[in-house]
Amino acid sequence: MLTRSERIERLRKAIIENEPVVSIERATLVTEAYQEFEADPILIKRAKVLDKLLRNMTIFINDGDLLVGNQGESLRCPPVYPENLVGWMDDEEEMARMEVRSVNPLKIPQQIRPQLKELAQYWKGKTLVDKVYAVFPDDILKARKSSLFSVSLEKNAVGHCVLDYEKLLQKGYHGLKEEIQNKLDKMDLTDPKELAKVEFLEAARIVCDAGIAFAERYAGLALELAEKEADQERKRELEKISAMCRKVPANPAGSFYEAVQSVYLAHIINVIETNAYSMSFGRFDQYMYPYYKKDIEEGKITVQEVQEIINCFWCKTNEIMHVDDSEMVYFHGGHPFGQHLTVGGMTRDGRDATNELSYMCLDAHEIVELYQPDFSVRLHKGSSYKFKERTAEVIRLGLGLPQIFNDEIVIESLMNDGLPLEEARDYTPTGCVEYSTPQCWVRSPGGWFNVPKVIEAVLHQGKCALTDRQISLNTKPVEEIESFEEFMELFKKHFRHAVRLHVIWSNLIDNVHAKVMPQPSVSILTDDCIKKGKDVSQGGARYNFTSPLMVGIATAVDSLSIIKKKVFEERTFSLRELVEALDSNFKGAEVLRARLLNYPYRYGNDYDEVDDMAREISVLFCDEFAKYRISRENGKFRAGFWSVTANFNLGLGTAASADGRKAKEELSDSITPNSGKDVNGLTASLKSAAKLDQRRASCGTVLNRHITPTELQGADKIRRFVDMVDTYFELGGTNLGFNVVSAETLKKAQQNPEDYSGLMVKVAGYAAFFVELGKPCQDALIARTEHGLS
Amino acid sequence: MNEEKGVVFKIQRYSLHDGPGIRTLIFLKGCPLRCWWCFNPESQSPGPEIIFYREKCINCKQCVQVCPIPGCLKTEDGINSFKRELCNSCGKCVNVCPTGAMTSIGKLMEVSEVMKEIEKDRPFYDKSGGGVTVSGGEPFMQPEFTRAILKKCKEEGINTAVETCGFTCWDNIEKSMEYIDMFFFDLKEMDAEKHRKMTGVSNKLILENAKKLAAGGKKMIIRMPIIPGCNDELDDLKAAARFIAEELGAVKEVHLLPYEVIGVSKYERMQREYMIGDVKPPSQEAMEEFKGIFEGYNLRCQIGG
Repeated sequence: MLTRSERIERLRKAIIENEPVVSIERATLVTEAYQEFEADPILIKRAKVLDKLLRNMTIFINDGDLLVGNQGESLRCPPVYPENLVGWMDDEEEMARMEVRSVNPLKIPQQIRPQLKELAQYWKGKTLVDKVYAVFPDDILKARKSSLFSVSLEKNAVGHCVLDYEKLLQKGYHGLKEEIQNKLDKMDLTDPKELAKVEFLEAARIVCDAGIAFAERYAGLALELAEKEADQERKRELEKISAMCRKVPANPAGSFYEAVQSVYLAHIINVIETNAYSMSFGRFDQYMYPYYKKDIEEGKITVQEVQEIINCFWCKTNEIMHVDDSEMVYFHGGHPFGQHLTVGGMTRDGRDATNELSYMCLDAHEIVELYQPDFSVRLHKGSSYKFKERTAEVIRLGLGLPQIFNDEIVIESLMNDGLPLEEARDYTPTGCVEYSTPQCWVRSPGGWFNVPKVIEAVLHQGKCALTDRQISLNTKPVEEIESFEEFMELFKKHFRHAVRLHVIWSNLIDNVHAKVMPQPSVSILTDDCIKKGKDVSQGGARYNFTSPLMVGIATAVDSLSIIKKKVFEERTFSLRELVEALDSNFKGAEVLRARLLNYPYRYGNDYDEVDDMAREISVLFCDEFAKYRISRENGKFRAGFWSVTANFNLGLGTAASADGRKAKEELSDSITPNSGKDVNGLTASLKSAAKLDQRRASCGTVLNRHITPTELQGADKIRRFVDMVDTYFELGGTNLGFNVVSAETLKKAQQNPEDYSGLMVKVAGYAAFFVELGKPCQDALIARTEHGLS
Repeated sequence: MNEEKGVVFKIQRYSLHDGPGIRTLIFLKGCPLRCWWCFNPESQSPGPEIIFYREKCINCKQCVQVCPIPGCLKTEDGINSFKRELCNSCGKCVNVCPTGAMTSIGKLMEVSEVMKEIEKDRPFYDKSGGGVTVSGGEPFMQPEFTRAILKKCKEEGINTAVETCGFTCWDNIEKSMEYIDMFFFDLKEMDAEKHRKMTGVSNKLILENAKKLAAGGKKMIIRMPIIPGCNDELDDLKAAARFIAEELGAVKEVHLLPYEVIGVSKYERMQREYMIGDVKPPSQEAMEEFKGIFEGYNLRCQIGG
């Protein structure tokens, strides 16, 4: 049994008990900076904004913490990013909603509201979201408003990346500065192409200096605190922190402890730069290992001390939070920040990469028991049984994590996208699942694509059934559709049209990001931005992608299966009768709805005929997007099959569907079967999911399954669990996430949230506190079939 | 050649409890016993039958309109009612019911259809050393069908197990022996009179078959349900342990299955009386004590399947 130290207990308690309160400091500083540096070109302006923040924001060190780096004015106080979005800041009603909503409630103190309003006045028309919406043509705006697709970093900077922390640890910011200077020294500025790079390189140099200054401030603060500290042991700790912050991240790390501190400071700087989600830590057990090994061999640190540092790191990632408005919060129930950390997998040369740190991270997850970092285990054919067994034991704790990834398929999918084998083997999930390397810049989410809405368009001559807006092609009325084949042809026609709109929409957003929201701090640690002299937003990365994500596959396939069987084969009802029932949201059509709900041939039950349809649609999705190019460096669209909680948001804009779902209810999650409709057992749902060509989804797939603790009870059951996972992976599955809870527990938690504030579940690509999720999401989790219970 | 057919009650994939690895359970319909505590009363009668799930009924009356038997399905005071004793299982109501409230239990299937379902989880058996367990009802109520499934499984290289109550003529078991890798053999009660009272049949044949099977060289695990107030007296259990140790030399393992509350709803749906009323599951301490009895006879004993 692993136990928490008194220190970790205290840090953890502070996180759980601190009520999130919006902090205004950053907003004020950023606004001043934008005014001060108005004349500067955007890259320099953004770099100077970061510089001003890092030199002036409040910093603090948690009592007892071994690591430093803070986001807001105090613990769990998410800062405001007015340069992105200000709509909520002068909207009292919206603020009232934000305070009382069931998902991620945030306190907005009365005393800061006048300032928020004032800032909002300054920013209106200047924010990222304003500039994004200004470029949308009418047809795209209509489709977007009707939820044909939704949310693609219109209000946020990009994120969802893993940075080259190996390089940071080897070179430090001083080393990066040298690289930048060398590049500048060699440039011929009479060449206009070269001249264009100066702006980025200057910005890069500014952020390096800003980062060094930021760490120096912590060094000063730690020393100040050490002088006042009565406890001798804590005094020594603070002195050590001070010495460490003078050294890193400015210089190369010399020890394991320094390496962890260096990475965390660089991380928090990137978080402060933009409000981008899912800045990920990547392969922590790999880039930290040389430092660990050296320190242990030289007797400089004990294994227990290493574990305590990792545990502090684990706690620290839970301090970071976001201010989301009412739309965005639907995508981020449970305060995730998507800081993905990965262990295991294979090395660049194809050997098993698992080491002592991989196991210590699993232990940290068990000891700390919080929802960040987003934690994943990579498995491959050469992973040891011992590692898989330990992974299963940690899954059994019911924390909703780690997720498991299948190296063989992921690596193949990345190679299909043009990554060389060795780089592909170094992948890490970022954010939810999107695979990345420090050489990639993936704009993800590149928009959630609503597949059931396409069926709605077929049934309504291209109109949105909720608003009557024309969102797609005006095709023939349903009376004239004579066969299922014809129905599918129309479906594909609307689908292709929707993809075209999605592509234009997505590239327009990309272009605005390049002009408004460059990310120089992120760019200096993304290969090859310095070499190319380009920011990530302008295509500085070696590989550039945008990731459209397919949502509602089970809702769509179940609907099509019913239409095929009941309308065209058995002729139980006509398409017109179906449309009328759907348009009335089943009012007066309860018998028909019962028939739809009771229909058994659904996705997730291992029926080839139905699953083939799911495969066909997913291939169509990949093929259609593959026809187009993205704005950055002519990069590719890479598909992902997952929804996070976008299935709830898109569901709100979708009329009743032929699978019996009512209007505005959630769509199906990721590639998970419809809630409660997978009745043939866990293996059947795994087989259905494996029939999708998951190799094509190089931005990942998510399959969430519930499992009861008894299914992981004892060594014998754990072996069967591992066999089950291995089989899914051999069949072509890439990702599995498990919620190990009983429906009883969840129901109790819903009724008595105060008794279950620590209960964690996996939502899509992340784990969240169950009680912080909205009721519909809670209900869906409860309804999901609990496999293994007869 | 006509394929062997049989009535299948349920096929359940991803079972972790009835044999090694990940398994598919084939529940056949029909049982010669009528145990008071039966968990699956709908599996007892051998033919397909119709069940009415009142809680799923939305009173659309479509079943009433198609039922050919007067008085079988009718509406009284706006509520549908179903008289089982009049039903001839024609299935017309099942076909029209939109909600699944009228459901047919038991499906006549050919061996090839069953094999198709079995084959679906083949990759999982191969990885985990799992396979197929034929259970019931009582598999040997349909001896030819059971044997045909098991034979086919062995031809396909799939591990096989059978769970039996042992109440069948020895010939049925013997003819299938070569296709079965392991047996779960149920033992309910050593006292013949109590056995007859609680299950409807004597245990004489069961005990004889147990002895023959134990001598047959196949792996065999004894399973005993523990039903408080029925068969949980220490003397009952000691007698069972002694019998296993002394008469079934080859058997080394016993599973004690604690009674679980299923409520009376299943019986109400079958329009039958639930004989053991509000029995509570045995306590963990009691189960541990029972386990000790079997271990005292050098038998490996686990609680639960």
